[in-house]
Amino acid sequence: MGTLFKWCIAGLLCLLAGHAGLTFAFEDDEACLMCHKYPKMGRVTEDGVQKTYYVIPSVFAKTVHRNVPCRDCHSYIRELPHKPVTEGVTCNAECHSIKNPATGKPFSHKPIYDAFKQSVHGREKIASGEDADKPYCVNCHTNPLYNAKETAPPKYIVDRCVVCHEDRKFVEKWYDHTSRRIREVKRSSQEIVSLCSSCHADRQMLDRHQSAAKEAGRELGRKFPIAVESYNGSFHGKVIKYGNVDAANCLDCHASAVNYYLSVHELLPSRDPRSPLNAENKAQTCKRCHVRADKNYAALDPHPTSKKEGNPFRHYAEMIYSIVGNGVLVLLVGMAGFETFGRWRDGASWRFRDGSSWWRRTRRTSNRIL
Amino acid sequence: MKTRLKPWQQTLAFGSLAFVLGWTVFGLYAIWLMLTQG
Amino acid sequence: MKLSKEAREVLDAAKRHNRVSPEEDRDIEEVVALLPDDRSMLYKNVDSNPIGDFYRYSIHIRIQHLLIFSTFLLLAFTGLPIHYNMAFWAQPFNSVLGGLEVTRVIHRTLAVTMIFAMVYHVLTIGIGTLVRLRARTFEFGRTILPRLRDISDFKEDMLFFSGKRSLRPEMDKFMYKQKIHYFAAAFGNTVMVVSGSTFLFPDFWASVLPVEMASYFQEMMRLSHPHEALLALLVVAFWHWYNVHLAPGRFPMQWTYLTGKITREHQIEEHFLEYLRCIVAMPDERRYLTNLINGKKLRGARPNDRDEARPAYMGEPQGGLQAEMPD
Repeated sequence: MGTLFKWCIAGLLCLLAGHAGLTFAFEDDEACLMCHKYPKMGRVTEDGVQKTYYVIPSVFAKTVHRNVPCRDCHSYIRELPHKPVTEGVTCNAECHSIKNPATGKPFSHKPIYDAFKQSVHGREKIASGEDADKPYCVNCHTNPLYNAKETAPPKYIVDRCVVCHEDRKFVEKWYDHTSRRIREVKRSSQEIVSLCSSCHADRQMLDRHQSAAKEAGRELGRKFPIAVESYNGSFHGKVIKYGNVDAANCLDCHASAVNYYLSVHELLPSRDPRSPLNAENKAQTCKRCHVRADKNYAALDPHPTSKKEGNPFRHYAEMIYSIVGNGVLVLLVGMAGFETFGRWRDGASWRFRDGSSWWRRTRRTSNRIL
Repeated sequence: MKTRLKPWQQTLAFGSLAFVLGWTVFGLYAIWLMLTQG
Repeated sequence: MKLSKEAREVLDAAKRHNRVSPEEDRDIEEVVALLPDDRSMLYKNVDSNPIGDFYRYSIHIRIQHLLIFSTFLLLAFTGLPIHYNMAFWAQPFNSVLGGLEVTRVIHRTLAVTMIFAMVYHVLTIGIGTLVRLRARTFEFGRTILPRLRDISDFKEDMLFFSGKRSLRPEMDKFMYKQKIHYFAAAFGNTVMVVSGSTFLFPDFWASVLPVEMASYFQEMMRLSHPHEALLALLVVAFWHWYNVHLAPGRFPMQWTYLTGKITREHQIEEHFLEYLRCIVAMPDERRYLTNLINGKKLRGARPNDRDEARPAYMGEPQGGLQAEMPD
């Protein structure tokens, strides 16, 4: 009993110590947490939207940006307490304190931001009109956790590294950095489909863009209005939905495989010769999975639809199919009904125990059963 | 005029009949599916 | 009865094929002469064993039917939750099988079994035809191939059902309804196999078709597979099963798919020409018929729908044997 009690106390202490250790795992040299550590920190905007400015230190300490001082991104903060924020964070700013270890220059997401700007999705941080519907960096990217499934780097690894590297914090930092990149942290196909669908399935957004494009005389992609629903109806969409990992998701075709991680940021219309879905590149794109794909194969529609505006051929073919199919059924059943009537009239009838035979007198002029 | 079925024949015949009638209910459901979900 | 031209041809051919002796020939002609002109008198009065009297389908055909219908039902059972994967029952159903991916594999495996049954059938039919051709016993009318006569049979039958004809047409081993059903199934199965193969091997089909057709073909096949499947399911459920289970004369079940045999009353009613072959080939049947016709005094019965003068053999409506016939 006494031993168990001691162990419980020890365990409790360990938990407390571990928690306290994590609470301030990153350096808050700028003293932002002085205010932002309070859970109630927030306000209700003029539009009635509730905003939370609470930073959970223990969670932030596990994110990829944990070593970036707040004001490297929130550069407009100049005094404490600061003025109301109007511009917000842009992702193409240069870090003041983090250097790119490869080039020695200040670290920045600028290269990928520039690619994004060139893509169909490209927009400014503060955007209006049509651009406001496009995703900015933070619509897809949050500040991700290094290793969501681990509370702390595994001791047996860190213990080994610190033998030479001496500094436990240094080791933990590099463990997080490298292990995240070794693990597959790419979004799953299901996540990609649902991410793209979060905008592309929005009927109002689609309508807004279609009417705007019509007014401007611009041409939208042929599949733009039905991209998500037709994908969900396709074989790719169906099997992805139920957990297949081999079938194509949106980005497998719409992003170039040559430099996938850059390419997902620079999605291009299929008119663009650099697009993997350009008529010239399409067969090659299909070939990545369908190894025998050729130009003919690339003509098959991965976004099948029976909507009149999407595919009139299929629309009318389906209509004819329905008419013929239902007509055949009605005719056959009608024929069976008529036959039943005719033979019943002739004296055939049903009996539960004896089955069906000529048990009745015929409705014709004479009863011909002897 | 038919002779009567033996008991096991009755069982088989009506069992088969019950099976296809059950499936016919499924057929009705299939019609409903076709009409509502295309 | 005086045979029609067609019936006479069938009877003569059957005699040739059975190499009947002169005595047998006499016997056959006597029995045929005894047959009442009103064939309904015959099929309404004969004895029938419900599980079948006359051989009709070989064991191969029965196995093929068994294979086709069991794979068909299971294919429908696995195909529907793939096509209608959003339906409330589809997800639990797929999960029971091990997920949609497993349902797909089962579906394809069953499809291969069905294709095997189809090949088996074509071989059976093909070899059977060759054997008959070599033995010089092949008769086109006895096959399931459609002929012009089927159209007039259909018309005559409809007129009979509406009461405008006194007799059903004389039909051969396969009547128009069976021919429709057979070719609907043959066509449907082919469509299902071809369209299913375009799902499994889209690259193959695209490469063999011209580029401007590839996409249209694939779209047609994507439409055809579920449409044809549902049509087949509905035709089987509402037509085929009605015909073999519920229709008057068949309830509670037609046993042919198990025993390969057809009842005597059904054979005479809908396949009279085939029944003539039975008369030729089966001396027992001739004896049975002679006894029946003489015993029940069916001889000379003529079809009469609008008869003013009621012939003597029919008696008064409430009299004689008829009183014993429960309504």
